Amino acid sequence: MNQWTPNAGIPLPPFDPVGLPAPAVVILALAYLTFTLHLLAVHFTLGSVLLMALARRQPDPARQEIARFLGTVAPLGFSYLVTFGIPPLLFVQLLYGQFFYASSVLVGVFWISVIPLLILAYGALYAHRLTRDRRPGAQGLIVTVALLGMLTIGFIYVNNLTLAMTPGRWLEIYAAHPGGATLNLGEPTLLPRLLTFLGLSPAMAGVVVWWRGRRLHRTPGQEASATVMESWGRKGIGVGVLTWIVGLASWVATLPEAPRSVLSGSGIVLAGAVVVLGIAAALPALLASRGGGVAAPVLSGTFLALGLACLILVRDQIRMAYLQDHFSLQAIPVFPQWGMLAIFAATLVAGVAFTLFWTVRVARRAAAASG
Amino acid sequence: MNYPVWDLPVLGAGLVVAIIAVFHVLVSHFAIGGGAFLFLAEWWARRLHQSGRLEDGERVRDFLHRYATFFLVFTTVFGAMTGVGIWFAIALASPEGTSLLIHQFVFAWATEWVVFLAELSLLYLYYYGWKHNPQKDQVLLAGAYFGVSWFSLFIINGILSFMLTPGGWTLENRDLTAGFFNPSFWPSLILRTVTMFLIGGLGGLLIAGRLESEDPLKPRVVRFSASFVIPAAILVPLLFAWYWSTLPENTVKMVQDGVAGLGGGRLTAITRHLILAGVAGAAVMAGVLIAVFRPRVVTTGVAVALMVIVQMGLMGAEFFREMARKPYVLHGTLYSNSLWRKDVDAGAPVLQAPFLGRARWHPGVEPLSREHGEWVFRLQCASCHTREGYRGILSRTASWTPEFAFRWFQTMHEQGVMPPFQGSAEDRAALAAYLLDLHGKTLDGRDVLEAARKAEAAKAPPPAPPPANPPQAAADTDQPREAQP
Repeated sequence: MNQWTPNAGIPLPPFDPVGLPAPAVVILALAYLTFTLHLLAVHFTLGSVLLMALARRQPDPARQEIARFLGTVAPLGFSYLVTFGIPPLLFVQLLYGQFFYASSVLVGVFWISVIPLLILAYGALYAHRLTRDRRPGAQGLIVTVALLGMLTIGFIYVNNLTLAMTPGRWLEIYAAHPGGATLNLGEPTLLPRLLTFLGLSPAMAGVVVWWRGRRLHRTPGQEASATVMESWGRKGIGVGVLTWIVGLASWVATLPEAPRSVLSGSGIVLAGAVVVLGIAAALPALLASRGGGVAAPVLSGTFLALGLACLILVRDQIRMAYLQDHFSLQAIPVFPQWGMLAIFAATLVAGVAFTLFWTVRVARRAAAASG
Repeated sequence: MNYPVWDLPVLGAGLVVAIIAVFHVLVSHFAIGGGAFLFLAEWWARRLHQSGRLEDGERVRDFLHRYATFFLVFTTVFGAMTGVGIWFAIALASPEGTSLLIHQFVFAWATEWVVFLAELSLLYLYYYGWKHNPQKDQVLLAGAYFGVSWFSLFIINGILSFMLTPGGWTLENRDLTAGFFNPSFWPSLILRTVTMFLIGGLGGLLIAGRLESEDPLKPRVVRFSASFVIPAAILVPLLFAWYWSTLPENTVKMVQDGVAGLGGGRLTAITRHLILAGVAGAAVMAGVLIAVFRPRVVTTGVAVALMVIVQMGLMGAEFFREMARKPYVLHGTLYSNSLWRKDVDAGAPVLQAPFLGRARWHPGVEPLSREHGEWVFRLQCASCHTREGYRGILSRTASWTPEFAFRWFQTMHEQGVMPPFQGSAEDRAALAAYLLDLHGKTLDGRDVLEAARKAEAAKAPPPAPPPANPPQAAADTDQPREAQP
């Protein structure tokens, strides 16, 4: 008796019948830009929680001040982390939806658990901020919950996104776990990738702590706290950049041959830029003297942001190399929605201008009030 | 059938979406209505200040700060996260439908993101600038927050209402304007706007409940909050009537059938949800009217109870909206099990060809085996039905016989709430056998085919001649036995 066998080795869904609403290059540019903003917020927030967890364990006032400062800004960082995460997820579904949706279903239980984890981690950061003076004893647990929640979310993301690039595994995984209660644990690049995309966290938070320390030097009586803050910030940058480069090297080492070949071809410039910019970000932190203006931390932060942007470009080239046998962006039909794109662009300009106007106005009021 | 189906035991993908969505609807409406509340209450406080009643103005602002703290944490932690959660959940429950929505409306969604970013930033500037901002700026920030948050509703409403009433949009014309400004766009927008005022007012009662009963501010805050709730509660039924007039014909019929069955004690699920929404609305109206005349009865417990009742009402309304789309996820275009209407219109190649030969997501099975039936169930039914949990198939098939099941699959779409069955007689037999096997009846697809053949032979006048072919050969024709000459 014949068996019903799948009609192709890989059950690859077709393109969406609606097609793309703009040329792929436009959508890719938007995806790169917004994903860079998202990763900056991710690194800043995760790094803040990490440094806060370390600083709050030490009783001296300077470190407690670091913990207090990071505890105040971390909920805001988390909020923007999620908000900046929306457009790249939107654009990845637009360009690579046929891979992304399929892999999401395959790890469905874990993928949906990202939502309660987000609520838990974000809620913990607010709980910390609102109760730290009233219930100091509970803060260690609250901060640990936030930290573990964020790391777990990162781990689930890496599982899903690596599975999206390896459709050859899909059918076997789905047949064994149709309820989605599984992860892509057999993927060799899993942990190196996680390290590459989260390793920079202490550095990004370090930049902000360093910047804060430099600002604090101007406040009489705060010199001791300012010095410790500077020191913590600079160490954070050093540790973060080192972790990042180790992560990057281990990721490259575990890549399969085809994606790795990107790095010996057109991707070599970008990959080199990632490393150079990482080192360039660490140099001001290593070489700058104590005190002074905020130029040095701003310079480090700028290099880190550019390095992340280059990493995102490399990442996309690697993804295309993974998928080259199954997919080409050029093959997706385009039915442009220029009018809607113009409305989006106009709203973006107006929204950013309006928000900046109010931000500057409120910041000036606050600065004037604090003398 | 392009994507795998998330075959989640007990809950099912649909209930996961519902749990997140019902909660999100409450919080997201509060996020806008609460913005209006903040704006008007700030204005009220400013007028008190301007008229020289400084102490009263400060007390209102103290109240507002409590409201704003609750508002900030509740809407950003639960509202924003569950909003992302709906997106995650619908992509798992209906990847094909989510893909279509995103490809059609991505720039509308991106615009909504910009608006949300501004909304979030304005809220932070309002809350964190509390000590330093002059009162005029606080009024303006709260007003700006309300304006942009309502604009985000405007955009999302276009996409949500599109799913039920796509209007002149088709898969071929991809007409964005026709789809966005669809027939139910305006009634839905205004209905949601009014509802959000109602919830914003209830948020005020929640904070007012924490004021001491002897506090002279309490009656004023309760009445101020009630002024949001009562007009909204009166308007909601009127606006619903307008919304109703734009619904698809089969939805109206579903509810009418449900209402007609009331006398006989039968009530369809969609009608139950509609009644729940109505009863909850009436209960809230009554509760708030009592609060207006007896403001001191408003405690935290009472306010929470009113909020829970509204949550129940919203649950009814959202379930109604979801069920009103049945059997589609995008009305008239895509069925809830990811079957395209265009494929149904094409007829036999999809509706009668062997299903697993066309489906992509199965590992290969022996025809008419239990696994054959299980994979047909998973790929055609599991997006809506679990086996024993939410919309459990076991309770729905308890009295089924093999011949009934075999016949039912061919006609189940005629009632208007199920998609048509895709597949051959073998697929129907395998699925019937699988469902009966879940009830502990040991049989396979061949037994079902044989039972169906006998049943057909027994009822056919004059008695049907013995089959020219064995049952297996009949199944291979892809035509059900009863349809053959």
